Amino acid sequence: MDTRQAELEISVIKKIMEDSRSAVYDKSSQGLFWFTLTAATVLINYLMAVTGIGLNFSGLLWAGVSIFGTLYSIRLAKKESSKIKVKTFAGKILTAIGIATGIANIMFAFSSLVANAFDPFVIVSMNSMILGMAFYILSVIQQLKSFKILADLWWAGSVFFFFMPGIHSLLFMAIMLAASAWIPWAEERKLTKVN
Amino acid sequence: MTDFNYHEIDDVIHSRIRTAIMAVLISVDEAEFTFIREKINATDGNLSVHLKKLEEHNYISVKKEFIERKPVTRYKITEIGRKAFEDYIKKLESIIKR
Amino acid sequence: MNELNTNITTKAEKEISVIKQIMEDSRKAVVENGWHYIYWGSIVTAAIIVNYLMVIYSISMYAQGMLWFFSMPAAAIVEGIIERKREKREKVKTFAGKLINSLWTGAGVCMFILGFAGTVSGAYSANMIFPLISIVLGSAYLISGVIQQVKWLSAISVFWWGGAVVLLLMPGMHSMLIFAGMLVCFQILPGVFLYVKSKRELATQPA
Repeated sequence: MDTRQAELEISVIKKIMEDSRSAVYDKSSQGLFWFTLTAATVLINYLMAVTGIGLNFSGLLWAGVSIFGTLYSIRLAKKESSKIKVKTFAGKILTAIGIATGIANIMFAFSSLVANAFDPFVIVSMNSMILGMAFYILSVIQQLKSFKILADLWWAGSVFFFFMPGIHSLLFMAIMLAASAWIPWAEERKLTKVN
Repeated sequence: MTDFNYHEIDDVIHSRIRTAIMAVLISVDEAEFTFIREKINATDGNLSVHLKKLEEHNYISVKKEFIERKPVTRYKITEIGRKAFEDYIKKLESIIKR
Repeated sequence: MNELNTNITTKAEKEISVIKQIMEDSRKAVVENGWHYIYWGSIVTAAIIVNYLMVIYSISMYAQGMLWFFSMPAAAIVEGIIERKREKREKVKTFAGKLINSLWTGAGVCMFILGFAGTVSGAYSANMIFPLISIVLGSAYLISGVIQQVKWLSAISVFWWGGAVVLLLMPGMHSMLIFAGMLVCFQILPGVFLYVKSKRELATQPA
């Protein structure tokens, strides 16, 4: 083998590896689904709180959305698992982050609503804090600056709403959730076009 | 002239398709047959032959299962395969730097 | 012609760098030798014991707050210095290593927010810090176990979350001691196991 052949071989290997590695980025719709659903529910809850209409039913709203979300998520996972042709290390971590964040958020809700550890409005600060952690880790996995910015915004919002809890924290949450759903989607589209 | 010894090139990896298979598998955790085929543009028969050779030398491991009643074959690089591929890359590097 | 050859060789060398980086990123080496778990577990346990004694001897809440306000950032600075020295000795940085760093940095920020913003703002009483931090630690351990490919490390998250529920439903001064006990069992001991495991693996690796 001469130098020229070796160089050609290296070029081909590099291209194949980069192309295969792009499969690392999670193409699952779970994130998009959960963030959009939660954003919509938070916005409805906000409107209920501002107008006072149906506020007594907000517990039922969240219970209903959680049940629907979980069932649909399981159906989505089954549908997508048959299409996933490659498993990646990063993919496993993304799943773990999703589960860990979800459980933490449920436990924060439990802490407030069942254990009465703090006012329900503080749940927004708790959720924001843990989502900040999730996006910080994602920013390293996906190597995207926009994720780091989202993490900082989540954390800043968390601290802010600890000191200024209230109805408007729900509006912040709805906006941030929508951004957290659609910015990753837009980044993934950009990446697909580049590849 | 160089003192390059062609015996040092790993014959198992040193083939266009097998090199490509190893490049795919070292970049992911595990990949299905169809994923590998798409990435390297090989035919089913040709790909199967080369995967078999890599499996015989323990460079890759294979897992067969049924998903929704369809047979699915997944491949993963082994530690031996990883080491062999790394050595192969080092060899290519030494040729280029010569 | 020579310039063209040099350009092609430089391009190939750059491509080799990319290949090596991808290979390194995909490597699942054990990244954690457990010392962080032991370090933080020991420091926080010690601080909790001191805080508990301060409560027993009725030392002011302000002084108790200052204990944490100074000890935790100081511990983080010392850890940062030790880490910087260790990083200089490392031959290679792995993707898994970067992930572990980002995970525990993120968890650290969360715990800092809970410990300071939460209490200073009056959102909850000081006793509630322990169950809330336990929830964050549960999440962190779950993710850590997946990154390090150590299943029992992920399983520890269940104990942190379980402990959080107990602390939430049975708040009181003893929460501090229960949390200290949890740190010993679910942080320091796992750290020791990881340390022993990493030493064993280093001993079996070729020089």
